[in-house]
Amino acid sequence: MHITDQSSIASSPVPAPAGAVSRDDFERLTMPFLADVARFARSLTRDEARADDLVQETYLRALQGWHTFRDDADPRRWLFTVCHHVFLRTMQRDSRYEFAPDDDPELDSLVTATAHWKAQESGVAQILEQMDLGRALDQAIANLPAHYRGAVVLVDVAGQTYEEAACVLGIPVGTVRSRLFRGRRMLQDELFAYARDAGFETAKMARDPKSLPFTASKEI
Amino acid sequence: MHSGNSEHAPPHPIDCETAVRRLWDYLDGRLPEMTHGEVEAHLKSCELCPPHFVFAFEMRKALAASSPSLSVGDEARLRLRVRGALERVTSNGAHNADPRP
Repeated sequence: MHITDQSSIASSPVPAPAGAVSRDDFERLTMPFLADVARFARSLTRDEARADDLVQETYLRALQGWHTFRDDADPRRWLFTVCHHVFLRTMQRDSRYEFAPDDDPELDSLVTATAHWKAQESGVAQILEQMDLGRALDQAIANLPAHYRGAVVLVDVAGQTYEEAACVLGIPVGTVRSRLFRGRRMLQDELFAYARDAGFETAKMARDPKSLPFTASKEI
Repeated sequence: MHSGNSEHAPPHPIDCETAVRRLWDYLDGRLPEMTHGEVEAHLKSCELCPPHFVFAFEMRKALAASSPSLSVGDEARLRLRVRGALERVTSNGAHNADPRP
């Protein structure tokens, strides 16, 4: 599915066409970051054709909003913000889209550990040692709802700080944290599901649940 | 946020649930020094919790290594495509409805 196939984004008119001079300025400022934007787009979409569409649309949108760019702003971060906005708008039409609630991040940590406990018992936790994680992660990230994906990709894949990710996503640092923790928890679930599909589950007897040293009292 | 080992009083003992609630904050290095020390001390004395932290650490490491590659050829092709689209939009004054090359 190409972004441009379904979108009003690509077909909307540019209100004020940029002149040749400003386009030169725009390209001089933004083109050095094309590879960074392309890698970010590929991380978000996990699909090269969709990523290329996303990069092109990012630059077209950025040119359209060029007059709003401040001289002291970071062009790379600005391009990432535009790229993420375009990505979110396309994902809003996707059935997997869901709004990210700001739940209790520590509870997500607890549920993550509880899920790992269960996965140890069934044998699927060995996935990291026994499987090529590349494909599993591609699939797992592609299945993440858009809001969580942005936080995970920026912090865990692109190596940005919470604060940098907050600037790109336009959300508070605390919201980055909650989306990141929920996203990681969902990723772990996806990896375990991938391992089960690949036949990694063993026939071990389940450990007595009473021996679990902690409980996720509120499943979320 | 923490800054290495504290030479102060031994950390306050915490239970497993408290430790795993701090899992991601601990791995991301975003706990205050005292709280970080509590988790670290728990992990040294607990047999059950370290595997969860190790798995989470390894998953995060695998994510960092999953950054998509972009070949020189891919970048050059994409640069041409984007430049062409920018040129079209500035000469036409509107988005091309189908920006694919």
